Amino acid sequence: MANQWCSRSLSRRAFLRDLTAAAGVAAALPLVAACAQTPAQPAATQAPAAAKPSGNLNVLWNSAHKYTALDELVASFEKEFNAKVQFEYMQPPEIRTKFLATAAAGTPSDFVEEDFMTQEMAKMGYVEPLTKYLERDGKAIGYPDDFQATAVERQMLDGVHYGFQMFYTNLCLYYNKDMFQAAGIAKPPTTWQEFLDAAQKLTKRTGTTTDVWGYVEHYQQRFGWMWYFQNGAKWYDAKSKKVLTDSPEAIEALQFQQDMIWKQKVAAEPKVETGSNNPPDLFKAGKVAMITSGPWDIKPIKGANVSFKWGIATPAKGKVQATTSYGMGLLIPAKSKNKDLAWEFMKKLVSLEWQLKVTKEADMVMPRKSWASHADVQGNEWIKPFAEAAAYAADYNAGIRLTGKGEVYTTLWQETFDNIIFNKMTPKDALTKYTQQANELLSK
Amino acid sequence: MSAITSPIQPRAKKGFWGRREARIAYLFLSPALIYFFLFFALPILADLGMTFFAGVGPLGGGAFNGLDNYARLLTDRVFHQSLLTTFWFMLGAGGSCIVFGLALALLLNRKLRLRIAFRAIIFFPYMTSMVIIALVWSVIYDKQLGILNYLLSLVGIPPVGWLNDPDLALLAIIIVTVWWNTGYNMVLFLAGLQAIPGEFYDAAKVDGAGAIAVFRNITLPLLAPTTFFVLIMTIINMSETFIQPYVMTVGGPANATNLASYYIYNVAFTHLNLGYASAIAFAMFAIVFAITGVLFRWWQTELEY
Repeated sequence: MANQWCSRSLSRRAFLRDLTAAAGVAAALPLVAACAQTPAQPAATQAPAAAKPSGNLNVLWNSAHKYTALDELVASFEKEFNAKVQFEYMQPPEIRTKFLATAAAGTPSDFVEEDFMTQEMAKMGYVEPLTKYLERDGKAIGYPDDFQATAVERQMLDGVHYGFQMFYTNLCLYYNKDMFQAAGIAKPPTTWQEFLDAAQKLTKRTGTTTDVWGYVEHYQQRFGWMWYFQNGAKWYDAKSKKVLTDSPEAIEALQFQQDMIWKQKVAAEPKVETGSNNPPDLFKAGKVAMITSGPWDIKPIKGANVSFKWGIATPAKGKVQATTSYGMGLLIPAKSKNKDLAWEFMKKLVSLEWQLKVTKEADMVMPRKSWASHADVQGNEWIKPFAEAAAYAADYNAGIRLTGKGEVYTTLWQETFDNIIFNKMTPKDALTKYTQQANELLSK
Repeated sequence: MSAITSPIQPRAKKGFWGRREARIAYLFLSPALIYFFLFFALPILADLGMTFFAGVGPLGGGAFNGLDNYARLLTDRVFHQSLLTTFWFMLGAGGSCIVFGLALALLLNRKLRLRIAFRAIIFFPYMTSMVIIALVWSVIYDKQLGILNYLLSLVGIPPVGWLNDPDLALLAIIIVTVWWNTGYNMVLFLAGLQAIPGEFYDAAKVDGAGAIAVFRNITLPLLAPTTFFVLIMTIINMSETFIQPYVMTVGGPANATNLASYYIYNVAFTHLNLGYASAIAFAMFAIVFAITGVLFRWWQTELEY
């Protein structure tokens, strides 16, 4: 048997050798070709197409954003442009993964709903600059004058506009009105001291068991920055290219968060989780009296038909009035097969008319100044605080996310937060360590 | 005396017909070979190429950086921590899955009432999506609202932060993994046990061997091929565990559950460093390959029976 195998093995080996060689060449070709290319650059600005665009539009979209208002917009868009819009739904982290992989392979979707990635992807040449379109249509759609400044900046790189904010959310205070009334608290807290006093009054214990917590923080590190900004802390200085997280203001902000959990025991430990479901879940269950969250939790809490009265207020003020901003944006990939049609779709999605419809349907917060001052928004008790806070909301990782050192503002920062909250490391030690490690990484 | 005819035919001379047969064989094999080449070999080679580039690689403007990504492996604290965590995870979850799988297989190989039902119940978690299992266990483990802490509170135990405590989080995902995977190992061991000829046990019985002696001298040695297969598969499966940290703990708290596969994902898609992520992936491949290689050599001589 062994000999029989050997008698075949020569031709088989030859075949496999040739096959392997071919595989090697085939694998090397794209790499060699890619090495020979200069790094991808934004496409040169051209005169916009005169003809009305039509055809297919493949859209990569957040699965949480399936609105009736979107269905209506798509139906009318397809009719107006003789187009077919097809959605591929995913969660934001998967959108990032998918877009990165397909953009690198040269086969991205035609249109993408993004989450804080426009600048990073534009830097790699994966996003179409909107210059030519804005020159033509910018004034008519009120861009950038009618949009919140931070919302515009988040979509720009080196002075070039690459995308639009579709939603412009921020963190405000959700509070249980019944618990406030029972604790004798007349109004939502407006300062850190009032916040702490309220949390202490609202926390209810039976023996060693805590029945109701005054407050609970989110686990995801990007939600904790509100406190730092309120205390006047800064994360990153673009001029010196250094993080500034060992400042007294940053230490004090984290100390405040840590103390609420372990010293005053008025805040529950955050739950380690991928999303941000724990605070609203505890709030709905009546286990916590105050949470800070975005407008995305309004609809789920309303839908839960909770038995208590609740409200939303602008966040408490520290040394300054501040909160952090979030929200999904829109971009057109550089290799989109139907850029002109994608632009027309983008215009519809950032129109005031559509944004008001989505606010009505899903209580979402939008980036237009005219939206914030609109009677529909000012008359909406749930949305009004977010509209007010939009004016001073800041990007939590502005500047630092352009360093190309993602680990500095994701993994390393989360580890620092975890060490302070769960390992009870002193904020001073943890932040000194973080600052040293982060600056070392940034200097490489 | 009649001549004995060997059932083995003399080897055909290598020639035109021999080569033609081989070509036909390769022709039939070609769809599978092309599939393997396009979807396995080519991506692996491309990924290997990626390890020599910075950032997202040549198509995203990443510069050629030689062996820098491999050099970084030597100084990356988080990678070292992740490697150690993966080792403990493989030992804890993998070891438990094998031990419990074997124990349950031995138990359910006996003539017990409802043994088929028990086998099905134990195997059932393996048929469920790990994502669903991870989500459900996250709720079970919840410090404030989870049923586990509620049950513990009934006997006076204060709430435990199963996924919040850096000292407990890895144990928590090990428990989930063992619960999920033990049934699969049990089925493999059951198949191995049922392949052991009954004569060995009959002979041992006649010789008066006790249960422990039978297990040590008959069951374990004759189960060696199955055990080896289970061991290798468990090592490979555990080394590529991703869903549990992704869904339940995000690799935290404080990197306590940052398994290598999750770290690779994070480096690639959160830090946007595909080159370095590929280098970590190849390093992990080399480590798992080396472990399985050593096991192969060690076990090689004892497998036949």
